[in-house]
Amino acid sequence: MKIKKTSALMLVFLIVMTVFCSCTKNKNTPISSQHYVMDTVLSQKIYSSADVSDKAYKALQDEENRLSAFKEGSEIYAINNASGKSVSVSKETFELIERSVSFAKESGYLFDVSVYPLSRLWKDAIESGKLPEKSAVSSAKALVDGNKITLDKQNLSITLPENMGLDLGAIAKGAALENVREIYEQNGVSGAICSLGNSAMLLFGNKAGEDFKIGLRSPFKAETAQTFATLSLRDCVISTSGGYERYTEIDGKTYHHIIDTKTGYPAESDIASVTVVGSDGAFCDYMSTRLFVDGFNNAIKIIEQNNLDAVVVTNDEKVYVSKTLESRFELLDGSFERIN
Amino acid sequence: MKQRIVTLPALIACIALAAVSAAVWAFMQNGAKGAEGVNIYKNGKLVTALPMDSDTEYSVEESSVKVKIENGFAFISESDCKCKTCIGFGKLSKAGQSAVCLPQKVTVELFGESEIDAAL
Repeated sequence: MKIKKTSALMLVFLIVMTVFCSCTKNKNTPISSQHYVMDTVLSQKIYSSADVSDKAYKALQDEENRLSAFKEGSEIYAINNASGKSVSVSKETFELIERSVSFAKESGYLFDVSVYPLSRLWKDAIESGKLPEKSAVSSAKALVDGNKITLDKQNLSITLPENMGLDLGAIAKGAALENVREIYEQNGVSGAICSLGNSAMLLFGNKAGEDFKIGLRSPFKAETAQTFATLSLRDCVISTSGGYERYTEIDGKTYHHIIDTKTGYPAESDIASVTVVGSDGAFCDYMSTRLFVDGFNNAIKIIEQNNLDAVVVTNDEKVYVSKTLESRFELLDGSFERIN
Repeated sequence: MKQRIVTLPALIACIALAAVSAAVWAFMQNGAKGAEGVNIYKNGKLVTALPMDSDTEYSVEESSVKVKIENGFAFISESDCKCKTCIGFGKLSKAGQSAVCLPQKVTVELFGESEIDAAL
């Protein structure tokens, strides 16, 4: 009788634990998908009973069709090819350009969406592996001037002097992620990560109610291109800027895609990568680019003065973590040295 | 005489079982960090999934990208793009790591149990 009771109890216990283990595993398995859009990889992990990843993908395709500087038919393409005439745009595009102009002023034009003549030149160089002529860089640089963007709020129109152009690439992904957040929320998603190139939006936490663990990729290429640290985060946007994502090597020198509008060449920063965390995607994108171009000392001043959530990695593998992220940061790679 | 509902041996057996179950659960959550396999995507569509424990080389359809699995590492071994950024991702071994060839829209992503939800 005793043995039977013991066996029955053990059996019940075993079943309960098995169910518990399997539930925990399923609970943590998101719906995953991958697409290419806005000239980068879109990766979605959604905790939801309904798969809304296609809706998000389509919304981002619409953003690309509206905002790409390089896609014929986009509103930005129309502005860039208007030969000095005014171009009417949608309210969303107007507002994003307006914000970009305000970011440009705030940064002393370190961040400048009129960078198009230079970004086009360097995009070709990175894709072809062939350096542009100095004279071409100098001519393109002369056409970059965010002060000359004319915004007509009443008519929602933009005017640029002839041959100038806009490239919203450094801000459009973060801004577009806000639309994805809306789609997720409207469809009752209980937690999600949507990463678009080097920007990501986290909705709530994971299904278990915990923070998401986001790995920060080592900015140093080749054999060390691994996660060097993690941030435990929820409900926010993260943007990382670094010269390691898109680059080419010509005659032993690396040329990346983040352009210093003051020199016309890829920014020669002492920062290898900078990650900014916040609630506003466009702002995080802008700030990570601006801090990268500004260099380490200025970046730290701006982070501390504005109480920003940021992680900065220098070219000599030193890591600065803002006080606000201290409890969320974990260093995984011993070759990096914390400097605060 | 009142009969005891739970006997001492049954209680000890349950505690022992709970300890074993907790250990198994902890292992399931945190134990396995190495990747089980590699998903290879072309234009966002999964074209193949390969195990990490068998050395092989895979030529991705409609591209010049070759993916090699060797000694527990996966990496892009060949690509005719000028930038070679995809090769620069290096050798990957942990679940969640990925290498991307943007010009040819090829992604190599390692899958398996991982503590990291996404990497930037």
